[in-house]
Amino acid sequence: MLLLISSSIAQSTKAQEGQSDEDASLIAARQATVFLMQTYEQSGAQVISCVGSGTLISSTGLILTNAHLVEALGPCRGERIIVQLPVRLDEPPIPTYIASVIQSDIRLDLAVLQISGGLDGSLVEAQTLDLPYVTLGDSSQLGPGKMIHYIGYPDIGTTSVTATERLISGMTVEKSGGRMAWLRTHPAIEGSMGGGGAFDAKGRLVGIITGASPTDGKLPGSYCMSIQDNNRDGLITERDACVPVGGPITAVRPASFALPLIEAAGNNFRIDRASGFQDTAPTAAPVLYRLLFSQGISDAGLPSRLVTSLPSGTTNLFLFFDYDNMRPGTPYEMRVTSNGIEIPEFGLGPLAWGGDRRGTWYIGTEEALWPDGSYDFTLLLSGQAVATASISIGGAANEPAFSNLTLGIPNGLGGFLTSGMLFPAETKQIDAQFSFSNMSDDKDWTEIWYLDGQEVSRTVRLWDKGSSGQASVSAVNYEGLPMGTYRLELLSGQQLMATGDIILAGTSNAQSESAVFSNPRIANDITRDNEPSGVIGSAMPLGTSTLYAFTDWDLMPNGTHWTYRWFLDGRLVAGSSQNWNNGGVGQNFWVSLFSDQPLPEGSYDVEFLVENRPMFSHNVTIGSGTRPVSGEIQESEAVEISGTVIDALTGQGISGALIAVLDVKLESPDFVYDEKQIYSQAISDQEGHFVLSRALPRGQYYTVFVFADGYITIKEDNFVIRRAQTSPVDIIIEMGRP
Amino acid sequence: MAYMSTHTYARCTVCGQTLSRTLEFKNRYYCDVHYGLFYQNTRPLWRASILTFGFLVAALLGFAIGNQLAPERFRDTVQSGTGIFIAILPALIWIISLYRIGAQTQFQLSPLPITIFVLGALLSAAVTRPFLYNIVNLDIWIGSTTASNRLMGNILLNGFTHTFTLYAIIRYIAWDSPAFMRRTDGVMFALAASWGYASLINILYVIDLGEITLLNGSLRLITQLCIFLTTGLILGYFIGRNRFEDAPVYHLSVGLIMAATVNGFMLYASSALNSTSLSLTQSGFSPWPGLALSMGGLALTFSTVRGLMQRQNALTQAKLEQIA
Amino acid sequence: MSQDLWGTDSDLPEIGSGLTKNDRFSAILVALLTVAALGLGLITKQRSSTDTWPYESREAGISINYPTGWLTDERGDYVVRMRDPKARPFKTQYIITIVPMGGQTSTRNVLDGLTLQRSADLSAYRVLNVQEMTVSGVKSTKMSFAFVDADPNPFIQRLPVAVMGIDFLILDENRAIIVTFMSDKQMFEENLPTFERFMSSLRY
Repeated sequence: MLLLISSSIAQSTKAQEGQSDEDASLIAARQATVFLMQTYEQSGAQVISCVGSGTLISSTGLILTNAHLVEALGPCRGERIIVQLPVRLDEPPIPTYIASVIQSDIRLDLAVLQISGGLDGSLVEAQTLDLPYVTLGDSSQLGPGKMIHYIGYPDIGTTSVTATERLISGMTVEKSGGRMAWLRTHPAIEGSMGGGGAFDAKGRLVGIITGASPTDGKLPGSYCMSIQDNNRDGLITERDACVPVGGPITAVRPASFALPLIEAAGNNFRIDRASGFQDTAPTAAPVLYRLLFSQGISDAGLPSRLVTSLPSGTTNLFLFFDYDNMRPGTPYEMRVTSNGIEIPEFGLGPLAWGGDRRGTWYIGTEEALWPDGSYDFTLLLSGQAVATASISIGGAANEPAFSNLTLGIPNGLGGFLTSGMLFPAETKQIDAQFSFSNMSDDKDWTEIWYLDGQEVSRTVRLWDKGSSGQASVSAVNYEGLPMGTYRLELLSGQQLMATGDIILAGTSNAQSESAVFSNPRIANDITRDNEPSGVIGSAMPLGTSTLYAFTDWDLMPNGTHWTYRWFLDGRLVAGSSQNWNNGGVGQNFWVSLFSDQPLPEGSYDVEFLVENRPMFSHNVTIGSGTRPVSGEIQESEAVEISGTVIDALTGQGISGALIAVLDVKLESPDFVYDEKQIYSQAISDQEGHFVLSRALPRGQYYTVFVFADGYITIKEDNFVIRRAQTSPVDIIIEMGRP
Repeated sequence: MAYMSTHTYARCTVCGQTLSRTLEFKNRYYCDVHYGLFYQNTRPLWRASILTFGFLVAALLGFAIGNQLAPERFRDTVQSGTGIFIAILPALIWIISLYRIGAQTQFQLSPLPITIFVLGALLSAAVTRPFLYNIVNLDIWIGSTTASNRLMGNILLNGFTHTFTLYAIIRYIAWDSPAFMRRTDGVMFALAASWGYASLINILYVIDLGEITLLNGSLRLITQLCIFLTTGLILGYFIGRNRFEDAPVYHLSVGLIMAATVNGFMLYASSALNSTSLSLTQSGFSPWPGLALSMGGLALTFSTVRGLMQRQNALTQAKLEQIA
Repeated sequence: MSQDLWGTDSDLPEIGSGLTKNDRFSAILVALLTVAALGLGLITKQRSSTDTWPYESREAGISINYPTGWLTDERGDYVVRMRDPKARPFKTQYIITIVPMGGQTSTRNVLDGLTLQRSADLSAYRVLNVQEMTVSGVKSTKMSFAFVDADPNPFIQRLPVAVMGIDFLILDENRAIIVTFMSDKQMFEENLPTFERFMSSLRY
């Protein structure tokens, strides 16, 4: 009997079964997953306009999510963002905070929010928040065959946070992010998990689940749900506004894309720039046109080998298309069907448009085997098909083809002085070299040049260069080619064989490269006339809260895609890309990096690029230029402890119990009831739940006190956190009555 | 006054009958009938008690095994009705088996133990509980004070109040009854009072809590029961001895102090012992150490009191036979 | 002898009544002993509720006795905060703050400063009344207030607690000593005497 009782003692006091590392890590990830709602006020009532998921990435309330869920895009008004926390993992989330967008990149569809207040309007000090959060994993290690875990809210927040695992089936290449733009998984998951996190087995955030409503969210339907009687007619009908929910999601944006945003958010960085001419919102309907298939992408982001059919064994295939009048947030989708059957892994979306108003876009796959067959590509905007193209795979491999079209300034020796996409304005000659194969002589071929969309030259010749080899064409103006955007099209018969875009902007430097920007300066203040002031130079004093980078510019056509980036100690921390809208020539254009507190000590670089070609980079240091190293214990070395204090006799939670963990060096006789001696503490809530204020470093013995009126004080000198202990851990404390 | 101090007026200490001849033992006088009884054993008492303890042990084994097999079920709470049933069941088993064994062994038992049992229950509800919890506010103080104060409070306030109440029931109700005819009847009445007293304390405890966990709650009830039975055994021994001996004036007081101290100490220690190790996997509480203490105390006290009583009775019998 | 003589005549011989002198004194002794034990218990209880530990701050030049077993904290913007670790749901606490007083600073200015700060920090903070009074022979100002204590941690489902408090502001040359008492409203009256003892032990 004694044996039985003693074994039963061990059994009865066992508060928690052991958990695998993976389970514990995913529990932590679920705890850090929030539900987001955008609301606006209508006749005094709060109306929900958009919903989605997000992930807490810092204890101070930074949330990573999709930009289209939190910005004023499409049906989302961007007025008020409500954060709902999974207070209990098995229950729906609870609206708790208001958040604001502090970093956003619509092109990547990523945004970082900061919890800024309580629901009651009270202000929240970020530093006083102590929220569960996840760390970022290395998304570059992911690839086909790896397992990831999706965590989010599948049902407009009416169910608890859900984890679903999927195998990565491949990658999708897209102009929004290049070769690693999207991780793809199948089968699809629920739309409203969009914005949530994709995690590796250790619970590290490796991607952001991304998907938009396939429709524009204006008409109720399966992707836009009417959930409120916001017209107050007593009924919830199609006359009420609906809340868009994403379509089936198969795409994950790798977390590495979010690093600059997170870095900027963590440092409270904001960016700004001199305002140019206002670009009015497009009024015409968006169009997608000039759909072309290519087997490759040039460094300039253009098709490198146009094709109309492909042989068996094709692994690389990209659809290029031009777009105009596009608005941010517009739902777009590429659907690929073969014999009427959709093949989701070759398609993409629906996603929220993050590109600019007009330009060339591409979507495709690399290293994914396309089975033989005929494929139809359909592009959809707001759920409506707007353009289609077809290609067959498995035919003969000996079709005529032009490839590797390269544009540049000739060096007179058959090569280029400089090549790419950007050349100085007033350049006298631009050559286009290309390879050809399977051609036949005596057929018509055409060379067409466009300037800013207008055809300026068309030459039709008979092909006389043989079956395969290299050839070139030129655009020549001995008075200098005017600045602007040029496009070259080469046709064989009526078939477009190759195309390339170039921009002529800026003056020529010594290497015959384009120099748009000149005279870079950095200052920490600015005059009303946009002149640099304050400290001007490459060393700024401590306490500087704004850095202005000034530059002059010359021959910069409006509409040219340009980028500026700020780096801190070599890490990209902020940046923006847009179309130039400041006119051709000017002085003292500025961009700024600022914070509501002094910028951290360090070495800063600002970089300007035009069409992805670096124009200049300028360095400035703040203070000594060395960032102080934090002496804090790495959170990852500590175990977060939460739990429940219950009455041993009734099993009911004890509210108001104080759980105090003493400093590691102290044992109970050393405790003189001085709060300085307490390392971590918590007071239990109505249900007896508590979360210790600080995580406990591993590999240590602690002394724990639990105080509650009406119960025997618990005093434990051997509360051990072993080195192998997973985090977080949930414990049960039973208190006995005297 | 007209009456003379003479043996002519002596009465039997048990039945009060006027004695024509004096049969005296340790300054107590007996009629012919009771002279041969007071050192006899109340046989059903020991057998019923052992049977009930056996039931408690079996029940605890059941709890231990059940907790091994279905720990979740045993951590669940049960409603107060079930709690009350658990609280009253051992007492019913004791009372019923006492009378059944009495009947089976043709041992004449008066209804007084039942009266005492009920009185014990009534007094615990009507007197000690209001005094301790409403006037002294002992529960609030004990729940918020230091361990040493808790020990002192348990002995001085809990222990003495409970023990004096049990003492008073026997001393002022059973003492003068002709049904109190054997030394061991003192133990029987003290146990009956304790059963009633402890059972009602447990019932009110369950009602106060509303619901209890099957394992921890039930074991706490059994722990309390054992503590009060131990108190009753000690008190019963002293009262039983004193009833049939003109013992020194401090004799009962020693018994009271012993019983109250044991009561208070066990109440304190059983709770304190239940606070066990707290770790990531252990909850800091186990009902078993306190239970082991109270059951061990009860078993030890029971065997000691029974042994002492039987030895005393044997000595008395030998002495009386020698005189005869 | 008839039955009614039995026990009615106080001169009846002891052996006849069945009770010896020992029995009678024994009963009295038991009763006395019980009363003595209960009395001792009550004294222990009373003493324990007034047990104190000393606190001294040389920097602030104050000393005071606070209830045994309470936690002290000197890390805030106060001299010391003492709180009862066991109190539920709100931890009863005493806070001693020292505010410098300039030549033109009035008691009212100090109290207004407190009110403004607390209004920003505490939910539903209300001043109930302000009155001049004398504590332990020292003229002081007493301000009663109430607020709602709510846990900022969203994962903690603690019901907001109505808290009542008192500030005693004592002018001491060029400084004001503010002794604050805060308690769950339901336990306020019960906790007040302990605070009054605490106040009366203040030396500065």
